[in-house]
Amino acid sequence: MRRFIAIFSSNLPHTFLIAQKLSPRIEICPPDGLLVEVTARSERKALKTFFEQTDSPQKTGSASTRITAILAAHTRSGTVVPDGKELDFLASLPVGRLSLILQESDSQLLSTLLQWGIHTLGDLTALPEKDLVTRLGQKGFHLQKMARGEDVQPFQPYREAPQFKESRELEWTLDSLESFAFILKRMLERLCIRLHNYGQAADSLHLTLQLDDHTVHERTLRLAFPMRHPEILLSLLRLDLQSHPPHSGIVGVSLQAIPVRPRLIQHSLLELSSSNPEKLSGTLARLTTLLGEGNIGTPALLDTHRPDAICMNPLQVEPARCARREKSKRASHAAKKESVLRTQSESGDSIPLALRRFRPPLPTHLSTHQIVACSGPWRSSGDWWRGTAHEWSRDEWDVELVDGSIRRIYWDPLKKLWFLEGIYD
Amino acid sequence: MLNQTSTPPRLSSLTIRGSELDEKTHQQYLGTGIRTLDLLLSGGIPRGHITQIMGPASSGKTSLLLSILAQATARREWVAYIDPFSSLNPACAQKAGIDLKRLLWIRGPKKILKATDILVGAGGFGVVVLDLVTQGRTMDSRIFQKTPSTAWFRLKHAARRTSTALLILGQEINAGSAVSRVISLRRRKTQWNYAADKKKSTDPHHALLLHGICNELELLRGKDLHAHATFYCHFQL
Repeated sequence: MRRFIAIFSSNLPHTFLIAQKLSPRIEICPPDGLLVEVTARSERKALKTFFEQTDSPQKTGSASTRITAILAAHTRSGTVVPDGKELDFLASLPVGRLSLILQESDSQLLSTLLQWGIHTLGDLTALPEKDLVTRLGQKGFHLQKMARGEDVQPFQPYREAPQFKESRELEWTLDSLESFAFILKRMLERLCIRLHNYGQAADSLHLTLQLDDHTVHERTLRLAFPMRHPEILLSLLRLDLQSHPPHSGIVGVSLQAIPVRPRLIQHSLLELSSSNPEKLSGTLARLTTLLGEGNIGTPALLDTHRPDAICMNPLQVEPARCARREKSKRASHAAKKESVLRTQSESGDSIPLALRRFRPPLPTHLSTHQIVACSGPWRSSGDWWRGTAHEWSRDEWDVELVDGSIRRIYWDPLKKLWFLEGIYD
Repeated sequence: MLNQTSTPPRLSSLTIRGSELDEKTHQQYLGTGIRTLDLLLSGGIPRGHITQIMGPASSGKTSLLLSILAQATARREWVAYIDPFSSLNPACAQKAGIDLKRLLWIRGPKKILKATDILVGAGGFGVVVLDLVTQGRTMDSRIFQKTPSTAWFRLKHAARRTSTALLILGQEINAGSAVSRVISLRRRKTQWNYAADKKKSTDPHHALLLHGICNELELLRGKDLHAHATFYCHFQL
């Protein structure tokens, strides 16, 4: 038969450590309480242990239900309510004691009960259940169950948050990436199995290497798509270490995965099979290693009128289109866009004119006999309120030259120079 | 009884050339956004092949390329743009209809052939663009002439394996015989907001506006050799 010990202590962490030695099933009652589930046989021993090993003042109570144990602890510390005697114990307690358990929003019910002349829990249990529910609803029903010492909520034992971390100290110094990859592989395999067991995937990996010169080499690998495949993660880590190698031998390694819920992608029958997200991550990592960070990504336009205001974002694989509504919305958007593009092309084979940019713009000098036709100036300026360093101003011209090219040039009144911004192509 | 008067089928109609057989196995095309060009190319840019778009400055090759990429991203495909000179204008790309979130932009003049090899070989990208337009800048264009043809054929086989359309943008044919289609463009006419013959010398410059460019394209390699078509690139604010 199971029993519950309620403990309210000012030093909760210490009490929790003691409780962990006595039982694996512990529920935390904020802000300062614990409920420990024990067997009837070990109850006396557990209470004795709490009294002996805790120095801080505490209140304890024991009963066969959690509510009775909590109320017993608050009535008189060390109260043990025998099995089957809960009603007798609770009958004399004032109704206001339930405020220890009830939420603040439900505390108004207690004042209602007091207005009705219900002063003790015994009075509350004596009320006809049907009439109480008629007047107070489901909350009244729960209140009466609590007054009888019955638990309303299920027991929620505390579980430690899983740690997806692997650490290892090496017996000898490793200088070669190949031999280090062997160790990384084993660590990743264990990590991925744990992620799989908890239904999680790695969103990013944090690698910490202890080096033999007593320094630490840290790398954080942000994945384009959450995954838990050790082979792919290993290749990504290898590529990252190739581009950012440690400057000394490795004597210790710690690998931590930040978990997220894995994303699922539903492929369409009507679309071409897109790249496997894990494979795409590997491709991006290889390209980043080859070309360097900052040279690869998706362009995004900044919300400003400054010419060529762009930034590079890392390529993100889209999350799963879980919601049907979102799916249909996106599908209709794609269809609409495609139809617009089709209409554009079908209406006289006309497409928007593109401008090839020079980055940075080239200083240029044109004489009038080189120009066949021109249009302008189109004057614009901005960011003058941010200071001279950010201020920009320009008089823009579109010019057709005798060599056949159509260019966009501009006069910068701040620098007093002509610049070639790009060629229409 | 056999009809003796019926003419026997011609041998040419019964046989299929090797190159055509190859085409039959890759019946996937990517629309260009220009109807006449799609008709000329039997449906569009072939997947799994190298296609070169070439032409002088202001011939509309970049506009055509962005239109192709817009068609691909509208079908929710990933596209990659290898840009040695960082000349892509994302604002124009967005106006052309490209979903920028599906565009992988690779900038920088170093190791572009290696990057192309990785992208084409990895698969999953509907279109990979290799922009080799130098526009008179300092990049040594001979680097591509020195590239052995085996490198281009390697890319060709990788593209065929992954059904990726590899587009090369340039001012001349860079990839030699590995290219399956060559689309040559040239500018026919620039349209301003007035007719040239009606222009008055008193018109102020700010009264004019670049309206667009009328371009002509020609197929230099592939089916329908030397077929011509025209399209218009309109200026968009």
